[in-house]
Amino acid sequence: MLHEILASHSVLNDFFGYVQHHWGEHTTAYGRSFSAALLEALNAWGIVEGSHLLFAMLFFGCILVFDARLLGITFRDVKISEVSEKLLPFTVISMTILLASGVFVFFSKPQDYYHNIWFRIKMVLLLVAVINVYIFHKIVQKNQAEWDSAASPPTKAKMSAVISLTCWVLVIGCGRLIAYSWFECGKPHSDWMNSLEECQTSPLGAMTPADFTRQLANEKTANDAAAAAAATPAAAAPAPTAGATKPEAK
Amino acid sequence: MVLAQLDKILPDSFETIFHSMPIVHQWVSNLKTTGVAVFIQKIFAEMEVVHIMGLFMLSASVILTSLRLIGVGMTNQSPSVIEKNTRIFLHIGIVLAIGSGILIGISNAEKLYNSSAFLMKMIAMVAGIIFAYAVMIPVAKADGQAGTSARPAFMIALAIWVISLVFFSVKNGANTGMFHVLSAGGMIAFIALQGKLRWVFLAGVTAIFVVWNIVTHMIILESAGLAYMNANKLFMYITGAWVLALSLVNIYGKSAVAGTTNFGRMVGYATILVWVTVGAGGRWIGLS
Repeated sequence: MLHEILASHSVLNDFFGYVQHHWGEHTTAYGRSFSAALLEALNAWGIVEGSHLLFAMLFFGCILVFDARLLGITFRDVKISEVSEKLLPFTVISMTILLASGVFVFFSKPQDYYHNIWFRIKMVLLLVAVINVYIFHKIVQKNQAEWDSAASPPTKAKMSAVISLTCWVLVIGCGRLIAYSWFECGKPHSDWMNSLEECQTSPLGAMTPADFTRQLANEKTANDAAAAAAATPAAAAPAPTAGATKPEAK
Repeated sequence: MVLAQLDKILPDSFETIFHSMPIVHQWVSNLKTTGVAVFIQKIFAEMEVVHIMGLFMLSASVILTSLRLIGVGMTNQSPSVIEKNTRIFLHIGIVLAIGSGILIGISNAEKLYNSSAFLMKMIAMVAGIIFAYAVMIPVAKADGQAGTSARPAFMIALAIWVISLVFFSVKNGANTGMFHVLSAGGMIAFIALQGKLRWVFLAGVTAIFVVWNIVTHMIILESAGLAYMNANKLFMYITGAWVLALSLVNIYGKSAVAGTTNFGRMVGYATILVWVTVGAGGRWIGLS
């Protein structure tokens, strides 16, 4: 019993569900939640989402050039520290705006995003990218003075660049795929996909292909029964009562 | 008043332009049944990811080279060095973005044919390609100096871009996307302006935004419909005028950074902003 309650209950799901559907509904016009109001706002939504995309362009541009330098593809004659120093302000500004706009984008549909597999993968990849940056600063960069001017930096620096580029390309890809509902809860998915998305706790529920087949069979049985009942007029239509009038012809 | 007239005069989409030629509409409608379109529809999402990656890649080259022409960013290196080292991203990005864009367009032709934002994006993209290849690259190669062909190419690209901006500004449903062009212009100006001018610029932008929000949240409310939209447009133009004015002060001011000229700075601003227009137009195809 306890297991079932735990499986169908998630504090985060409940919290995000409240935020998405109810928070602010007594304050905003038409009884919408703040999230719904943001999503339906004439200007604000486009501005938030568009800013997220455009500053991602600036951010990725900086990351791409720095990682390409680490890989020895571009700026081979320029010190790595110089490339890093000059790009850092743009990377920080764009990352800050990306995070801020990203919070607003998430706020527009927090419960939906919380259960979205692409969003979850994106968050994991972001974490990997952050860990990679931390390792780069703490371990790889320790002896940077020795290879700062090298046209082709050591393998560990190149590895870091490959991990970084892979993570950010996948983050961008996942970000775009979030909009697609292929793996939405409530649709028939394998058990592991339902688990990964915590569909059990989602308002749309978890459904496996077997559940879906069973549901179709039940619907077919119900439809057949309704059709059979309709085919026998005596059973389907009630007997005319005294005083009943014929409908007027139109 | 002028805007309303422009809105009526300018075509809404490719459909309006080719309205008198039903054969074009027929051809566009039939595109979705072609083998390529059917195949692309199956991998539409993946193709969109490739399209965005292309735009992101070319932005690496456009932003860094243009910022250097303005006099910010990697200022220890000359514009020609920046251009040489990032050119590869421009080439790959253009191929990915345009290649995937054509395939996406074939599979989604009818929607795009009727979209104001798409028409605007296509006009801006022509300007963007001219800016990148015929203006930015030659000017950066010459470390900010205008060659014989760069100035006429700049004028042509600028004229095309201005047309796309006029479209973007007057067409309801897409004009909010102008915010991105303005905010990008404001951000470049904020980074490029030096000393007190930078803070004068910021104070001006802040004041405009405060008044804008007071007017559109307390005086003319969303329920006012057309008046509300016009108020938004008016403040958009005021912001645009402020950003443009301070950008021109920056462009025609003196710079201590080597490899920057008035023309080079103008090219830098325009090349970044034209590609922001292309990106914003693309996003507003989906939103409008």
